[in-house]
Amino acid sequence: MPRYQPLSLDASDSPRPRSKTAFYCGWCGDVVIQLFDGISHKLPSRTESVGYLAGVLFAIGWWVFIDGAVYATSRTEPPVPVPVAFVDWVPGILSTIALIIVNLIDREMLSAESDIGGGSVATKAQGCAFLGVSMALGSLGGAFAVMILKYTMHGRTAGDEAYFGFCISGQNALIFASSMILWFGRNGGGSEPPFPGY
Amino acid sequence: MAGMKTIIGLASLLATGILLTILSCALYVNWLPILVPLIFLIAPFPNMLCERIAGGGAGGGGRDIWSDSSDHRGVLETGYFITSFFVVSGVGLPYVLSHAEIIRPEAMFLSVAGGLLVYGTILGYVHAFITAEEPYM
Repeated sequence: MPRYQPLSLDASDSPRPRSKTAFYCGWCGDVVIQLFDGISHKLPSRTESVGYLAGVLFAIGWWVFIDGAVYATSRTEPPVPVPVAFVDWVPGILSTIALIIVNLIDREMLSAESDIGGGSVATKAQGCAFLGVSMALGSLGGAFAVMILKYTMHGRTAGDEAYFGFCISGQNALIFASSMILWFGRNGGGSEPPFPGY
Repeated sequence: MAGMKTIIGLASLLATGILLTILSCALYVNWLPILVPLIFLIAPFPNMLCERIAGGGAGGGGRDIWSDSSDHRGVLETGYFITSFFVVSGVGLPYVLSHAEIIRPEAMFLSVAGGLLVYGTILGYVHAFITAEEPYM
């Protein structure tokens, strides 16, 4: 749990821009601003929320896949008509590798004004990011292709026999969402300092 | 002393968690749910390690200062990522086991409750007794 020190900024020496919207009604604007000042240092920081949210989505994705695989292989009474093969694992593994590749690239490496050999580093970083994003999107499409080719086109659209197909699609959608949240969350708001007290 | 009540509360939380887990295993003679509190037990370690790595240059645990400088943010985020992965795994593993009818649903609920209590004990201990001024352990 973060234990941030309360910010020692008075309202007197740092006048905050008041919003003059339709909801501005004198004292209640002040109440809202004071309430936000009171809770703003207790909320989790951007780093924390982005990291936790991406990890939760990633874990849910992989557990959805494991659930589908275990359920499809452990049901024996009427066995599931489509057996679990290695091709079902490929989109998830590629999504995970793409998540790692994409998130090894920082925003400072993508922008060109690096001091030592700037253009070359930026070009390589852009190439890596492009490779990673296209791998992520490609594995997302591959998951949908596996679901459609193995399940939907053979008339298996509902129930237990199509459950694993939906699991593969859901897994890759969740891992893709996780990697994009991690990437844009890390690199989006770095310019303005989240804690003005430091 | 407030520390005494905290210690007793945390100890009873831990004992309740272990009791629920043992019950979930022993009532249905299937010892697979014992894995759940083990997952919750190792869940805080990536967080602690990455905070230690990120705050190591500041003379130990200078986390509030370093948490937003860009070269330590990646390490911290990796820690949060792996920790939340383990926390979700602690819920996901018994769900998968009960969905595949390897353990019973009652055992799933008992072991998830026990694991969450164990994890809450660890979080409470870190929150109450390990301050930011002195390093972990």
